[in-house]
Amino acid sequence: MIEKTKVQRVAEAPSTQAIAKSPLGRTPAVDTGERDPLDLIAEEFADLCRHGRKPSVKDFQRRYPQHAEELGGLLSAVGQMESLKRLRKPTSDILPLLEQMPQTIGDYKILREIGRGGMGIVYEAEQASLGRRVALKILPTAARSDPDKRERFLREAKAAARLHHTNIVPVFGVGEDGGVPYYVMQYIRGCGLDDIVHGWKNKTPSVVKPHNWTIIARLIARAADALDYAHREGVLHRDVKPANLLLDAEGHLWITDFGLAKLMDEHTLTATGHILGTFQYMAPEALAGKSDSRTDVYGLGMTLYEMLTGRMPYEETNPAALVKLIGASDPPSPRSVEPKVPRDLETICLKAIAREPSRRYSSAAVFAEDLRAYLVGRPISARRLSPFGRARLWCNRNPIVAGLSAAIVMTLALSTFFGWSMYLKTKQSLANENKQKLAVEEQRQEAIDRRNDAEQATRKYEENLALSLGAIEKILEIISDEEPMRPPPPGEGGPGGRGGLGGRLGGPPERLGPPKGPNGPANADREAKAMARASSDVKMLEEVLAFYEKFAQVNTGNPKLKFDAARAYRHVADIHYALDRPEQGKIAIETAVRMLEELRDVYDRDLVRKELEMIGDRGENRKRRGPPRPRE
Amino acid sequence: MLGTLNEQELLERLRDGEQPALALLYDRHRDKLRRMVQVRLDPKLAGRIAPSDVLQEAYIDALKRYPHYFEKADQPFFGWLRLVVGQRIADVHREHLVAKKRDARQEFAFGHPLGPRGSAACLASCVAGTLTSPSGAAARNEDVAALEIALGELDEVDREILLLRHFEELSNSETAQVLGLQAPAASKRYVRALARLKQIMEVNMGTPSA
Repeated sequence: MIEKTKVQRVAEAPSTQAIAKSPLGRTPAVDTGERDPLDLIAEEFADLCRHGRKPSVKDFQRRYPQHAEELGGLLSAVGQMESLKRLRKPTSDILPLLEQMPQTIGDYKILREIGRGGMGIVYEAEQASLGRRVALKILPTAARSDPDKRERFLREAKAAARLHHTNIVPVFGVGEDGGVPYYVMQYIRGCGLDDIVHGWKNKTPSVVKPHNWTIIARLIARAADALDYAHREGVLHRDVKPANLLLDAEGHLWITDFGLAKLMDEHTLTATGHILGTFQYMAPEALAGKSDSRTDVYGLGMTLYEMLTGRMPYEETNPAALVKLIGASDPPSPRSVEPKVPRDLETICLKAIAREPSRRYSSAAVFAEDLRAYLVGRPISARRLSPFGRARLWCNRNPIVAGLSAAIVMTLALSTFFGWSMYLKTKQSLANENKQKLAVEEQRQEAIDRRNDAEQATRKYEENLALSLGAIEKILEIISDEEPMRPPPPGEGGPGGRGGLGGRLGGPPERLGPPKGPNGPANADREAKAMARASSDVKMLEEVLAFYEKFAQVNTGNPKLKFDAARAYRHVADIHYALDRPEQGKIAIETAVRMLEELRDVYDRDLVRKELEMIGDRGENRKRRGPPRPRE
Repeated sequence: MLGTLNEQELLERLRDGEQPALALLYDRHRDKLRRMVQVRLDPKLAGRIAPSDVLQEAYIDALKRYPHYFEKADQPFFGWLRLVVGQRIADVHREHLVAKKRDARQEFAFGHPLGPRGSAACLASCVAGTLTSPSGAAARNEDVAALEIALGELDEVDREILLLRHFEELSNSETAQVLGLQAPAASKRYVRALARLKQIMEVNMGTPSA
């Protein structure tokens, strides 16, 4: 149908008139005469994408109604190609190469280019008036053209210039020359920590040896001191990573590029393709554009991670896979990568790179303090997470759960599930149809292929469903926990040493009351909060319950799903008990037991037995602890 | 002075041995050549080799070899430059990926004066600006992976034509030149390649093709 498009239709198609309408006023190469009209429309669309616009396929379809049908698919492919291009670019020059190296900028004589990257070009320069060697950085063009951004750059650079610390590369001056904002720093002869780690891989001799835990801890502690100083001065770094920590020939550590990351915006970023290098070290909250001092702690923690293990936290060069990885998982623990890493250093590192800012060191100073405690052999303040803590974090971090309400997850699970059952039906009828129609030998192969495709899709649906069920189960675990998440009080450490999940859920309702300890108004307040939480949790639970019931009804034939539903009833029972509703708890338990009994002969016997045992144990526990204490 | 000349005139100057004309010609095609390097350079070399270095070296190659172009000027100059740059990229790959003669970063690893370098950018605003959430980012990246797979399944000319048009941002006539096609044929082929890409993706994702 596309091939059929006639050349004559060019007259009515986009060409000059449409292109003149393009807000960019840019005329694409003029060889429109003999081109497919769809090609011209696609070109216009791509042109908009390249200029940072987000053209809408629907608008284009409206503008070219005669091609509306084809355009739907074609333009979305064009848009995808254009975004893929941006993701693919491994490195790129942000400044047009035509730009000549300037002879002088302000008072500075440019000697040579040291490097260029997302943040601009760095030159080695000489300050004529003082005769000293400096490093001079100019902004990327994209940032230059925007007066707002220029002003912000100057403001940030001035803030950075106020910092005076032995471990921060001094900023000598900030200025503008012919509309080009620049700033001038001390020229450091040395290399970045990234170069050092890279050198380890190549067995290059280096001042810092791999596995030299003392030196590594000391370096990171110094960096933490410098960050803490800057934070107290009100300046965030925002891009702490090995490449921004320089080590000079004397082994002195310098942090460079304070505050500059803030200047990067979407446009510069997508234009530079420098995402990969920084993404590795970026704290999750920074993804949402929020950062505070703990965001820098995270970056430094990631740097420590790399120094300890000799590898990047996420070893993945494919940007698509990397984004997914960071969204979905923690890096492997340092000791699983490098077993020689001291346990305490690993604990410190993991605390610094906790996903949730509230679980990290509350400041760079505390981070530095813990590193020093390690260095002198004092006990460190960071605690390892209990399995329960990890389970809860899993939920918070699960990209499906994070940012979505449980209800949305449930909707998702339901639609996945129904989609799947619909699919099964379609597949069946398709297979029947194929059986009738495809008698001819060569067509049989096609039928087999199609069936394979269908089976693959089924597997995928099943996996998605399992994932959704898992997510819901995690929600159950979270909302049945008694306390809202909050950072541990200073000096008290994390939630280490708490009991396992099973025990707490099966426990008596006193868990929802005030925690043991000194009484006071604070406790009453806490209890009120717990109550409020409990009532919203009950609502949530009822939704979960409704979901599972529907789930169990729809699916009477699949033992696996029935088993899942039985487990859900067990969770629900636990929570009913926890909420002082023993009658309902009992009903839920009975339902779970009944379902499990029914499954005994059709499902994995061991699993069923274990599940029943677990229910029995809970019952014992409850009996031992006596009747629930009435809440005041 | 030279800057006011058009491509044909510059080529004549170059043929007469006026080398600065080559610099101008090269500069005029530089953006396109840079995109070519970005697209064709192995991602494993990211961070080690800047496209600008490859272009610089390719320029020196072109300077050495331009007389050959005039001996047998059977293609547009841009096409010839692409060949030179392509050759350079192949050399770079051989040097760094196959023979591993040297590791570019090793030279920098120590004792090399490095100033505070251009640091990478911050993803925050990017993701926040274009996507709603990290989970959105993940979903979107699944799409990207699907697209990569679909590109791999296209036939070679189709794939090449999409790379040229989208990644290297060449115009239709430039694409036609590079592939040795007539402009109208290249245009048709491009639209067809887009349609095929879309079709493959739909099949792969299991949604019915329209």
